[in-house]
Amino acid sequence: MNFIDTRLKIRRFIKKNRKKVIFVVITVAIIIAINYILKNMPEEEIPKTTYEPNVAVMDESEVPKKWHSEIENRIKTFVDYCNNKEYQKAYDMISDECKDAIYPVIGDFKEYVDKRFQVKRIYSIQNFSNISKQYIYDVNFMSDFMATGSTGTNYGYVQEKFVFTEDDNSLKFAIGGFVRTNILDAFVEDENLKIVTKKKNVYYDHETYTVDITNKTDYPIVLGDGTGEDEIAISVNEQLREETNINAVNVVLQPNESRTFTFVFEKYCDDGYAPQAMYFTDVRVLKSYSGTEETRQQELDNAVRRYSLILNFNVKD
Amino acid sequence: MARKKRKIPAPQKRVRILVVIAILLILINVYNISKLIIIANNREKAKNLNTAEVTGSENITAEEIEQNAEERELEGLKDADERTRIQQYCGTFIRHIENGEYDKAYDLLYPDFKNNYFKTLEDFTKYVQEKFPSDLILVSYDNIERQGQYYILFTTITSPLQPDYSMEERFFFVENDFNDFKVSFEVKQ
Repeated sequence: MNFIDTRLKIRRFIKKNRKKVIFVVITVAIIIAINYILKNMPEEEIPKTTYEPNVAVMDESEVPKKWHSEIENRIKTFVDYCNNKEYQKAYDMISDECKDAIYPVIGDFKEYVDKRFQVKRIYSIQNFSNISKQYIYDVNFMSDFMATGSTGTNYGYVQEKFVFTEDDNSLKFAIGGFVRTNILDAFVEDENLKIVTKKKNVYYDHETYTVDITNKTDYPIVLGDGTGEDEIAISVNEQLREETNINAVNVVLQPNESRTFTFVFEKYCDDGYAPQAMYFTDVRVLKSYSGTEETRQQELDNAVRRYSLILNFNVKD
Repeated sequence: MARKKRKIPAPQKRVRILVVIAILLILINVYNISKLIIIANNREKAKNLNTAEVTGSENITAEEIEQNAEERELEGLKDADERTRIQQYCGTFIRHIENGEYDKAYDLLYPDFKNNYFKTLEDFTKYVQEKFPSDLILVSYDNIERQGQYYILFTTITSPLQPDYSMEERFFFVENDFNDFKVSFEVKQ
């Protein structure tokens, strides 16, 4: 096939499909023109800043774009309500889980507002970290320095973590660093004790466990009184984390007594590890317990039994 | 009963296609023409700017000189990072005070701040005349912090003509756009 044949073929093809060819040429021309126009559209110049409120400082992950304005508006509305002391409206914005965990009645929330918003506050936000569909923001509260020039006060801010949780294509809003409630329904039982924990509340930097303990014996039982190491602890990534208030809590049960305790453990919710179990490393079934230093060793020497107990969670975070 | 599809006659069809193409071509041309107009306008502006620089105040008014300076300042701001911009805003505010243009400095104050401390221009003038150096003002920028949309500039103000004078001052800025900002500062008792 020579050059002339090819030319003739092309010519014939064009003649035969003239309309289609014209249509294709015009379409391509239009696409090129539109591309050119869009490329050369003058961009609106706005002052460039390094401020990216919805990008996490921990790992530079970004909160989904569809939530940006929703989150920013919610925080603004909440702060406005608090500044105006519209307690009920602000309280209604918080998720039920957060209310149950921190402010079960509006009076508790009112105290928070009155303390945090003694004067009008302005604020800034910065996404701190994101775990799955939970978006954690640092919110810095400051006195309204634009209006006061911080005259007569020291410039500074108070930081609080606000958490937004994606749930059924909507966002749940929590304050005070509260992240979520996890149902555990874990228990362990032997001839001396029955220990049940139904749930834990996860905060950004700690977890609280509600634990029901029953002494089934006719002896006093000591689980924690601050005299030993890691008496009550959770295991996280093969490390034990001791209960933070053990010296104040004094976990001692009299014969046949049942009590509910709230244990607090340090644990960052974005560290990537889930607690595996709660350890009671020194359960002391004693003939008598006075709680005094003088008789402590003698009471331990006469113990009915000393052992450790593990309460497995068997749940993923 | 199903509606019968009416067949468009061939000539009418051709006309329709031609109309669509014509509209598209017109749109493209309108865009190009408007772009050419903008470019021509910009060239004219640039030419005027150059003329102003070369001929000085002979052919242009003081107002035009000021406008040209503002335009150049604005161009500079567009290339600057946020720290430089905020320092420049602070410089603008101080320059107004230094030049005795208290009304211009007063206009830059954040409205609530004005309302709290300087209800009138006279109040503000009295304050700056009392607290700031009367002639040459030097500002050293010690630190800058950002809280969301707000900037806090920590400065020390001195004056070469008053060796004993030194004042630490915190300025607070909010930037709405290039060269569009509001300022407040710690009022000294």
